[in-house]
Amino acid sequence: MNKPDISHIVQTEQLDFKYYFQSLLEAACSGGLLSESNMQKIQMDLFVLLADFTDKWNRGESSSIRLEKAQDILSSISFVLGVQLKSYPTPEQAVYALRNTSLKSIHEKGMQIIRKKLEISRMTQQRIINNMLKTPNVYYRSTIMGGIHGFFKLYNPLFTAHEIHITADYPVHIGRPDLNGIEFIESYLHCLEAENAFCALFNPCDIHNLLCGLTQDYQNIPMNLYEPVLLSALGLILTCHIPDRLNLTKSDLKLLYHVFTDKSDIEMQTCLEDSITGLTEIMKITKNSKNYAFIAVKKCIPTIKMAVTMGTLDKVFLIPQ
Amino acid sequence: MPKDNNEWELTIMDAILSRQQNIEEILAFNNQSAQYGLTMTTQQAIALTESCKDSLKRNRRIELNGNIIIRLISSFCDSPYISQQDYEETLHELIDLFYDFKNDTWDMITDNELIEFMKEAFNSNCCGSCEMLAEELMRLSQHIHEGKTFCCYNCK
Repeated sequence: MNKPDISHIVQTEQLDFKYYFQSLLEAACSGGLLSESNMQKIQMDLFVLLADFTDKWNRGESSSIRLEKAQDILSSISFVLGVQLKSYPTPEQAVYALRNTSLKSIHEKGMQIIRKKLEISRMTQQRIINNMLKTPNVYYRSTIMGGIHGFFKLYNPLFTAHEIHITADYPVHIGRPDLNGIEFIESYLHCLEAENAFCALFNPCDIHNLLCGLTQDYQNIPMNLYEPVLLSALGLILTCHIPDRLNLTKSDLKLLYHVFTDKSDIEMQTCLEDSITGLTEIMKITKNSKNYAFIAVKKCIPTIKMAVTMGTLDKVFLIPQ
Repeated sequence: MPKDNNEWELTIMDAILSRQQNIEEILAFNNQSAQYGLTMTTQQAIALTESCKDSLKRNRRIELNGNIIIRLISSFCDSPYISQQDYEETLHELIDLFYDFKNDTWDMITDNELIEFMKEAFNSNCCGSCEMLAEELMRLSQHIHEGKTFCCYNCK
């Protein structure tokens, strides 16, 4: 008799990485991997965990708690469980752990991972600060210094592990990570580090002149600084110039129109990726920044395409002031 | 299991567990309260747990550790103002007052402090009246709302 193939009962794509524990339970139940009695045991374990943490929250001084606070603590517990469950190679193995391990044990392991992530994130922030791009943009510095410091000060993985606490106003190029708690900060800092390392390769004055080509008031706008710098450097590679001064000209723009007009998305992507490779041969780009650039250019394609159509390529490949 | 809406889950779990535990514990306490001439029937115990559940729901609270009914019975069963005739009714009122003012004092008073305060007031200047106890508790809430602590209210 053939054994049923259970390896793909829960597809990773159907899971929500922000609410992993909850979505894994849902998918496992629908897929028949968790029985009624499994679910009852999990719910009971969850209740016991919640009771334990609310008791810690109340310092044992109150038998009851406001519903909103209990929900908050439950969200925190669910987040921590999700962190540990994500560490299994497949969702099925995570479900196996849910069936055969207590939630308390899974939660403890999740807390260990979170503490590790906190440590790593602190070091990432410090590396960025040690090599921080000199820019007058208020959002850049205040987010990396004040905002992230604020997170580390406020973050309490015991009771509010899912909270981000800060607004993280500075927008990274590939988009705000759709994650919670320390996972958000870890991913956000990873993006910031890659962007900062890239931008720090260029003279801050050249970056300033470049961004003034978009608006003189860029220092007061929560805009991403990396994208214009990346595209300027790639534009210079594409027009066979040395990229270090970020000094595209109007005649370079005419060439870029030629390069990008009537190109498919795949052709544009290939073109940009080749120029990243060209850039890495000239400048000492870190592996992290290079990998990030490959992801970043995919996001630039619709913008470039629209600009070619509208004749506004000078708003994408900036000409410095 | 809905991703964000944990409320229904909490209320279901709480209802199932607390109801079962509370009834048994309340009836078991009859052994101690009987010395004061006070005992509870199963029907009355069920009514009290329902009352507790309703009060928690109305005040948007959830009880996960301990049993307030037992603690209120334990504190008030020796009151000179409670007889077998009004035992159940008084407990219903005390439960309501407890959770109402647990919220109204912004959780700044511990369970023990609040129960002690209620017992003291009930047995002294309130003369066994829950209405007067409510007024006394409102004065306490006002004191907390003015930014003062329970300790300095007690010292007045």
